[in-house]
Amino acid sequence: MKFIYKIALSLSAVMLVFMAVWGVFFFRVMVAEVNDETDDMLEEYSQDIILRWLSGVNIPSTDNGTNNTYYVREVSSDYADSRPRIIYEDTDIWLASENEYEPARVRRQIFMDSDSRYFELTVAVPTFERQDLIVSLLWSMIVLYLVLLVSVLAITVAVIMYNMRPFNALMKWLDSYIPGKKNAPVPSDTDIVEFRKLAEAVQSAADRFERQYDQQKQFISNASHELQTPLAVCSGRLEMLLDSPGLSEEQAQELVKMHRTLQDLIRLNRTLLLMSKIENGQFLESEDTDLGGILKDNAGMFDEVYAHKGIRAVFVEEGRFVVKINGQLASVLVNNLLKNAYFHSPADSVIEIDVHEDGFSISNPGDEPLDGTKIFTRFYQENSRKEGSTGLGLALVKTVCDSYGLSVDYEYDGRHRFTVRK
Amino acid sequence: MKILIVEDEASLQELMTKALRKEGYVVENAVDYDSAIEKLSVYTYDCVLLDIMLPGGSGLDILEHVRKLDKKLNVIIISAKDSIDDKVRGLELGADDYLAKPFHLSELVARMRSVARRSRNDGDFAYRLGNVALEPDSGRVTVDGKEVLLLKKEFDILAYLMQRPGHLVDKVVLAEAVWGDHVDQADNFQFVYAQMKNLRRKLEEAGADIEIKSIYGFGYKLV
Repeated sequence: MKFIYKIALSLSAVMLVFMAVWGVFFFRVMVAEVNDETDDMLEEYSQDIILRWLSGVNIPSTDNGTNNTYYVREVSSDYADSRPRIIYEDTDIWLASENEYEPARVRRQIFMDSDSRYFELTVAVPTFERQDLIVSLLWSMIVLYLVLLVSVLAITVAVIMYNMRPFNALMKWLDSYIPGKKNAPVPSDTDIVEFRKLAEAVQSAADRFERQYDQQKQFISNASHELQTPLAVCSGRLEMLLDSPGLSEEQAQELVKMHRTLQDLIRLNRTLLLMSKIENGQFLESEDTDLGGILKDNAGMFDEVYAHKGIRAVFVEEGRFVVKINGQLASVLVNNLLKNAYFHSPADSVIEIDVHEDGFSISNPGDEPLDGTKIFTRFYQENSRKEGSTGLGLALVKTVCDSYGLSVDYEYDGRHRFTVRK
Repeated sequence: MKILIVEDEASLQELMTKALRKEGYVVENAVDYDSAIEKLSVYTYDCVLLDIMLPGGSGLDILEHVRKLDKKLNVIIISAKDSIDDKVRGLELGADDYLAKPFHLSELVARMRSVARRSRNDGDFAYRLGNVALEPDSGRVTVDGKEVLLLKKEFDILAYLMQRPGHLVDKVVLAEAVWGDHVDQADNFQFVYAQMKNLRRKLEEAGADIEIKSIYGFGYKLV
């Protein structure tokens, strides 16, 4: 999940709850205010009526003509004493204008005239007006809530995006970083302290990594070089020993085995050297090479070598696959893939070689798919460790392909299939 | 033939000396740049085996020095640095051959033999053993002057063995030399045997007095 989405999500979660609570609270306050206002109005109205009543102005004892309703009735002193002087309540009242009962806010007040008679004045205002007010308030609240939510989110995202530009540039740099290749310097064009620190840290880590990578490469290459002479000495001594007279068959056999193992070691060492040479770009001359032709020539050789197992190659040629590549490396590439196919095939099977204009593929039968992510790594040998096998063949293939911008892929569809493409 | 080995690695030097003396060559040693230059200035050799990385200087400089003295001297470069650059520079400076470490001793002897053959300068570049002659350049093999027709692989096998007479040759090494490096994992060397059988039959039918002997089932020796 991207950081910006994470922020937007958390922000909306918090805002959703926080603003809802605030909305409910605000709404409550507004409603209370409206009620208060209604009660004030009722009070003023009743004062006005009582004043007129007591001053002897002749007003009708009931008024039912408008929404504002009142009526006055005489009550006994007992009734008056048994009740509070002023009561507010919500109740249904009869509305003549509507000809039905309606919920209303009601104020009752008991008052006494100069003849010591008690009267009860009931003033009522129907609540539908208040309800309308509240509904429209609620709607405004909801609209405001949504607009606020969306705009806060939009502004936050925009501001973060704008300010995170140096960070995004850094991310882009990291994505494009390839160890051991020439990389652009880490972008640090920012005056924000944290981002500059981050860029500096990344730069120094990359530099350190680069140095270690070089050292490691250097080490492998040096170690292989240094091994050459002792290996030559060892191998030479064994050869001399083998030529010496008076050797029993058993001794000779042991020596030959030793010699062969030593040759495996020499081959391994040579392959490591070859790989570091390819990685260091020491194979310069390349020429247009028809890989299909090399495939054909070498498959013939392998057919001969593996004739006892009845393995043979079948060619499908749909075009010429011509690549600008060093001749020596072209045969390294082709031969390692071919050797791999022949070596891991059961007896009496067919190697299918498919050559077309922008690539070739080599496939051989096999029971189980291989782990496509690991087979190109050095020394990886899954269930197929055999004596004399270096475990470097496919790694070498990959190294060659990488250095000439070719791709090599592995698929399994009942057969192991290696495909090299431009 | 007199040979100077310029090699600082004592063990390898001893080994090469031993192997070449056994072949009947006269061998002398130099272990660093200065002694090599000195010996080359004072004495005459037929061939120099030259290591490139030496204490005191580069073998390539020695090669330059030798060529300046204009000695008609065969130089074989031996280097742990199997790099094209070195090889190209070495050959440009007039080296006759280039051998990358680690090499088979028999390979060294074979190269030596080939240098000796070329330096005979009598126009006869053939390898001869008994009544058999093999001309690597024209690809002809004759027994008592009569040509024997060999297939490509049979010819290569015979050529390889004729450069190493009397030496035991591992069939794996032979297969690699004739078929290529990539036969190393073959678990069965039937294909070598098949070619060998034909080659032997052809040599025998032509009346050759050399014989390819099988040694304990793992190698061959030409006698």
